[in-house]
Amino acid sequence: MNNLSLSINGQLQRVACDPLTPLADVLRDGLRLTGTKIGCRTGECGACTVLLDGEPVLSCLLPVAAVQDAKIQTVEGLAGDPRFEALASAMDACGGAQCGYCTPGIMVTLTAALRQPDRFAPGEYEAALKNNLCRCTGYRAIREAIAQVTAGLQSQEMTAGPARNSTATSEGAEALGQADALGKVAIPR
Amino acid sequence: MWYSAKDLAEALEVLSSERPVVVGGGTDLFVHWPRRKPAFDGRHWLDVHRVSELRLVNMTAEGIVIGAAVTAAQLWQDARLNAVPALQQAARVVGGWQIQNRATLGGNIANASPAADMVAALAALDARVEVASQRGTRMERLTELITGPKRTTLEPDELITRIHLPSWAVGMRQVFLRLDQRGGTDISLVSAAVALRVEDDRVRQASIAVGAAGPVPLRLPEADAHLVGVRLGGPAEDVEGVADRIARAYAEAARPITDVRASADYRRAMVEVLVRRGIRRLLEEWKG
Repeated sequence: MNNLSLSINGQLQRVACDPLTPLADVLRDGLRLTGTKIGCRTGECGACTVLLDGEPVLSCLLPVAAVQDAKIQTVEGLAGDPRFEALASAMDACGGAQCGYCTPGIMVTLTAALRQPDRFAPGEYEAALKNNLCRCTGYRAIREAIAQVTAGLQSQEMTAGPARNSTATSEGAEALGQADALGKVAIPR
Repeated sequence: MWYSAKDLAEALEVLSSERPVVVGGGTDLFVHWPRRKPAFDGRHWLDVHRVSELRLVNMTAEGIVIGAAVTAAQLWQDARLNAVPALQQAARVVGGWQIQNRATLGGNIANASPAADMVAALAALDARVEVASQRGTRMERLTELITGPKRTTLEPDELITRIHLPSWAVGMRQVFLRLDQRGGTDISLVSAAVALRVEDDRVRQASIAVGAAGPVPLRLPEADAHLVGVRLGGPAEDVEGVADRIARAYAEAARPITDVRASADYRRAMVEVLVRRGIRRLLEEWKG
């Protein structure tokens, strides 16, 4: 057993555990952050995705000792991020979640992708999801949700400014537009 | 005990005194950890992913030097490495984004999986591996460092520090091809990396490596040499004939296994397909 300090969702957390314990278990069992799911423990399903210094990684493959110096964000910590909220609305509107088990991992991965638009062309965000498996939706509804959010991003770029006449009509796009235009988050629920 | 080294000297000291398991990104070591844990009982661990010396990419007069803890994501995101597209393509297909953010080049080598994608690309580019310990440093060809499945010449106190690519590999026409069932989140059934230098519409140099079709990456320099002198824009059957001959040579030399993913016969047939496809892609469809 070691005493470790971790930066999780902006807060310093102290945990006492075997340094080799997977981060996913520390989050769920130690800190009750159960939004992070465990699907396969082999690094294939993506349900355990968290952000490590802003980059998506699989927390089932991460010994907790390896992340002591990093900033960890879980799905719980993304609430309030305008991209995350836009995505949540779009996933809701499109039926992108069915059983919901894969949803947190998909939301974390996509939020990271939307924060790095230079790495993903508008039609390529779904490439970010290669490491996230969904067994319910067949991905179609998830892809529609991504399209809604990125359409909102594009129309926002084309019509930047207060006189913006947005062509985006989806809830997700509106949430994103409002958040960025006003500098704070407006969450339609 | 878990050691997180900040610099190379500290890492080599821990290696010498504790003989730890070296951890890069851990994407292979920690697969199904609860099941694997007992096998590592009592071992020490050395986390090298924050060792600054191992995180650098340098373009030099001799070629490219890549730190062992450089991640797959760094490889495909670093514009300087557009000069070695086969390595970038392998780095971008292995696993998904989450895996690529952790998996390291040095880890891929030390792990010595016959199916390692980045290793196949490095083998075609004739990579040399720099290995350090408190006793000193040494350089070894990648294809000699890896001696078999999960086997290398690394001693318990040694660490892979850098991977060196020769200057001739820079800017060659290159392609990495991979056959799998799920687009790269699964293990390669067969992979092939092909690199060609074309000057004045003629092939001047050719280097091919095949992965996942034997205990170590398969290279056949004598077969590759059939490509030298082939003229681009000549009769299509010339290119096709050479590609066929080389692809068959690789298929015949391959020593694939049968497992849950594919039979040896199928893998051998696919070696021929991938080698032929790689050559033809570079000669007929290349858009540098």
